[in-house]
Amino acid sequence: MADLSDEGFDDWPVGSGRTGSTWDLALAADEQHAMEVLAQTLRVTANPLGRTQLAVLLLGQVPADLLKTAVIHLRQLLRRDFVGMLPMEVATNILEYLPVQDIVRSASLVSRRWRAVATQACLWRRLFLRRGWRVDADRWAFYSSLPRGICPARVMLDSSVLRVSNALSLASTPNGISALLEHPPATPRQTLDSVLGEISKSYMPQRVLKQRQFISSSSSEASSRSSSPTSSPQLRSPALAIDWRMLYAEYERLEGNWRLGRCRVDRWESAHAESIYCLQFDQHNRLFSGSRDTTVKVWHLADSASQITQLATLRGHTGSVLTLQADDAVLVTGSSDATVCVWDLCTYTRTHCLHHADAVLSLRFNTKWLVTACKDRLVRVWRRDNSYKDMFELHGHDVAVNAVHLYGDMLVSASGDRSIKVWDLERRTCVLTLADHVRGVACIDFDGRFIVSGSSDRSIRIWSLDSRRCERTIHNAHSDLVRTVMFNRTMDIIVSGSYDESIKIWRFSTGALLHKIKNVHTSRVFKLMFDRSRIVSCSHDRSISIIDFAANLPHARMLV
Amino acid sequence: MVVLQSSDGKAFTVERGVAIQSVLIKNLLEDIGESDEPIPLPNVTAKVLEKVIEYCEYHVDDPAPIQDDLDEIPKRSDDIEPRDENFMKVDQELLFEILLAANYMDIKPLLELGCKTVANMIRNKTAQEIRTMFNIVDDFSPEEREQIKKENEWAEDH
Repeated sequence: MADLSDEGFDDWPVGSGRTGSTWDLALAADEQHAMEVLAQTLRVTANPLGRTQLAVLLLGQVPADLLKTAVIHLRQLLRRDFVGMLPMEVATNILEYLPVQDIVRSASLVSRRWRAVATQACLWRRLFLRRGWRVDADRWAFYSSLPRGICPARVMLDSSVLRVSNALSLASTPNGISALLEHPPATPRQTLDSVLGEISKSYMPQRVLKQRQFISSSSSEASSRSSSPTSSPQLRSPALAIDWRMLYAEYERLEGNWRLGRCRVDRWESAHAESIYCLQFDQHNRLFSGSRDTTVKVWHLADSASQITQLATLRGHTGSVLTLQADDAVLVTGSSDATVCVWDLCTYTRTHCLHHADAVLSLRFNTKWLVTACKDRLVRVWRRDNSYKDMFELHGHDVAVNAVHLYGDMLVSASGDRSIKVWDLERRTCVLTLADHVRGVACIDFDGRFIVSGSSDRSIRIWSLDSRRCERTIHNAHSDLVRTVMFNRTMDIIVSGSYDESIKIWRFSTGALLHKIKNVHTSRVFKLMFDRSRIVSCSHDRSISIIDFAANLPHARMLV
Repeated sequence: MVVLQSSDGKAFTVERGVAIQSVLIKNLLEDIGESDEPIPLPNVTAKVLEKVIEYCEYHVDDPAPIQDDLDEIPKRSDDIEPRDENFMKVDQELLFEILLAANYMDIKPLLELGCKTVANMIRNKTAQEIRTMFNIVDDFSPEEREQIKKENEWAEDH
């Protein structure tokens, strides 16, 4: 009887299946008949044990040298086509345990039945989600709705995205995913009409289900961009048959592009009149930048990465804009003029101004807190739910606080005093001090469990809140101060920017350098941010650069 | 104690904790309440049921499996405990029957163990090696084969 020890090889000639030529013997008619009678006798013998006995008796008649061949053949009868004969869900479950390469190169080529299992949407959806990849449902609705022949059109998405984004600030966020979309002014109505169909909830990962609902607004910015009056919003259920296998293939390529450094670099010279200190972009393709020229500019970043359009310039600060953060509704900016401004992104007007004693070097907010880092060594914290009325201070750093980062009620601050402090905002206390850097800490990123910091000592350090210590140090990560850093554990990526003018990509898990991207900037890099498909950075050289890893991957922007 | 009866009439008496690792039996017991009547399993032979019970007895103290565990990490099959790996060293026919029984009786950990075992047999093999191993006939036409090769090109540069 076959056991697993002989599953790894087979001495049966390759290419001979059940219909192997070994058994196509030239038999005389009477011999043929005799064999059929025997077989019939076996079949009608009711008792399985009796049948077995008879079969063994017959085998005893086989010449010893052929017995081996017979045994091999018998062994075939004990084999089972697991993927072909088990229920579909079990067969799918088996393939889910295989590396994708085995599914594509081997499993899908075995037989038609195997191919049917190996190409199922539900298998690829599961493989896709298990990679930690998610689809932006709203973008998918747009992309998949395009008539054939039209390149995954930036125009449609881009022209509508601003209004959609603006609308968010007025929108409540009821449950459900039905997208309420306006007709973009630049697009003929019938195009969109013909293409939007049904979003199937069952196809959506839960995270996407939690997404916002779009509601139209008639904000001044929106209508000024429309060539025609805004039509009344129409509720639609866009068709969504996601080709998970195709998406998987594109995202696999995207990851390969990151790994191999295949990217396209686009540069916008003189995006501001002077140094650009801070920037952020969001999933609606809006880009915010703040500069020494005292202005904040709002841009629209085209998916093609070949276009960047200025949407607005926000004036109000009297000094350099050093830090900013935006969500769907508000933008908060901090300046060397010792103020923090809160801007309404619907109207682009300033709603609050928070005064400080000195330059505001960094700030972060979430739904509950607004936290600022000031040159006067203090961290200031506001509750956002009462119009920024109450404020408390966190004392602990000896010199200027260069960077802050928030996660829930946890705050991380980094200072020129070489230390990083973790604070519990509810208790208003410092719960951990990390002080391994040998010069001032310039930048941090934080995801609730890990902190990555960049320092004037040219190193990048990775800290774990679980172990409460430095897990890895990348010594001499750059040849000058590390000014900006961001990481994503799902992507296993850290990206850093330095005063040495370069941007570097690292593996989070190993600290290994993946790529150094040169010729992106001609002076100090001040800030960068990345998502799944691109890195956007700004510099003392007054330019904004986009390093795009998805230049030829039309669906890559749907990855969230 | 719970009595399980195989399709070929053999009765197995097992502890309740062993039996209810099968969600099928668990639900059944909850519906009918405690009873001395044997529970018939018309799709499972004595030989297979014996194996399934052996598995459940060994894993009786395991924590309940998490349902619908679509984690953000690819599934792996290299984490089988040595004892389970040994348990699964059976011929293909029995392995096949165990998978069917685990699916029918809804014993998720055993089903996953079986799927991992089969996946490990398939891993790193060519299509032809898989056909030989499982005695499968290649039923593609030359045209289909060509078409498939084209479709699969995306995976080639990784």
